Amino acid sequence: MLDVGMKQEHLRAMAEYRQELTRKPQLRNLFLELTVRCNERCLHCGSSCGEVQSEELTFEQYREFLDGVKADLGVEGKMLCITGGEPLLRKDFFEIMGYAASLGFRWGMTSNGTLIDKKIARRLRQAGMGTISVSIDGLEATHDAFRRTEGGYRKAMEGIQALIDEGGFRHIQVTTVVTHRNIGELDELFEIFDKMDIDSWRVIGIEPMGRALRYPELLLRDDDQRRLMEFIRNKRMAGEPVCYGCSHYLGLEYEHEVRDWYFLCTAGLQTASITACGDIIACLDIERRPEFVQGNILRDRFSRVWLEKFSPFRQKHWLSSEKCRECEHNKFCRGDAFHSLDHNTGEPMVCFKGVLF
Amino acid sequence: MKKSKKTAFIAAVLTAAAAGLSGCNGPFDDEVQTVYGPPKDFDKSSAEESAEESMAVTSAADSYSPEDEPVQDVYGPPEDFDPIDASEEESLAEDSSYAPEDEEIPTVYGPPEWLE
Repeated sequence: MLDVGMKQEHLRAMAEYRQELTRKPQLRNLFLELTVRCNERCLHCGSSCGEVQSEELTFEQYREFLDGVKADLGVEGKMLCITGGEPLLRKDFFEIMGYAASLGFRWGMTSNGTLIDKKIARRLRQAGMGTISVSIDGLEATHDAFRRTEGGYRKAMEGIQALIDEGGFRHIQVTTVVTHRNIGELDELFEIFDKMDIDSWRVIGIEPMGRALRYPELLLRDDDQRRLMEFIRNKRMAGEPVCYGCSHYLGLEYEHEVRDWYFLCTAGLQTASITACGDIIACLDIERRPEFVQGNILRDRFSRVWLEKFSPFRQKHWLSSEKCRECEHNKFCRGDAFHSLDHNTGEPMVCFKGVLF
Repeated sequence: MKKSKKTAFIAAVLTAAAAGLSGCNGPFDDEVQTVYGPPKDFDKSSAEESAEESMAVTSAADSYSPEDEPVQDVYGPPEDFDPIDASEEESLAEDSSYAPEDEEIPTVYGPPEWLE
């Protein structure tokens, strides 16, 4: 394990940095949920996406919004993170993203990869995409069953290869959501991805939210969590570009060892999101409750909302949790990720105390 | 998967730690982005509140300072931003055989058989 004293010093600096962000939030990640339509039905989908009614903004509405963001906040240091549903289901996807790139925005996206072929890969590069993360959630049979899409694994892998063959992207990543069901497939998956020319493999645990709540048998057990941490750390010790995601405080043992940075929930501090219908929220993973909707881009100037609202995310909300208030880790954890709070009780639904530390 | 100076550095640091070598004094490579703490321009003295409690730092003498390192983007992978000017690229293909509406949306509902 890396030096504990060093980590403590770093985490203290992060705590001070977060405090500074609550006073002076700095927009760095702007998520755009282009649609909640999806051609897959993933069991773990946090947004319950699928063949659903999706109020969507028009290209003109996005254009006006992006013009406003650039005028008020600039494009420097900001990343548009395109997501859904499956963003490529939008017919005007390239129109929107090409315009964003022409303004100088850098952007990346998440995708299930099934709609990416050689031509789409070329268009993505031409539209200025810098990074992409494609989901592969297990070996072929597991992936297809988990995402309820026959042939999904094959299509997604072909999509990844099309991106690799096209080239010119800053970073091509595969993301795997690890469940109690597929954790035994990690070694085989590593062997598969190791033979591909991708830039990294992000391995994250299934979150207890959205559709996943209907399938508690998929949630990771305590020993699964430890096994996952050890897997990632061992790969990183071997020089492999494997990493955990950004969520959740992992304790001194694993912080900075399974990912490049320390835990910091940036919802409302560095991260804002625009839902498919234009609502301004902090993070798309956060439960869509009215009190978390800060405005709508169809009637509000985004920059004004960003600077003047978002108060639920810029407070010490963890102090309302009895569990967190009494915990010696709360200065680093701060109630863990905002999206994994039970907003009815104020208690964290994910806490690795007693599991990882 | 691509290995880089960054992954080699991480491997070296973690391996050294596992071998019981304390501190984090190197090997450092200026070209390798390491991510610790707040961004370079973060001025701790301007913070109105200090951290709620101070933690005792027990590490050996270490000249490394986290404030010297930039904060990596939290979302997704890191990148060196070098924008591609779409207008200078060849124009988008006017016609593409791809059309989202051609993709069939599977109408499958309910858990898969292996879960039942």
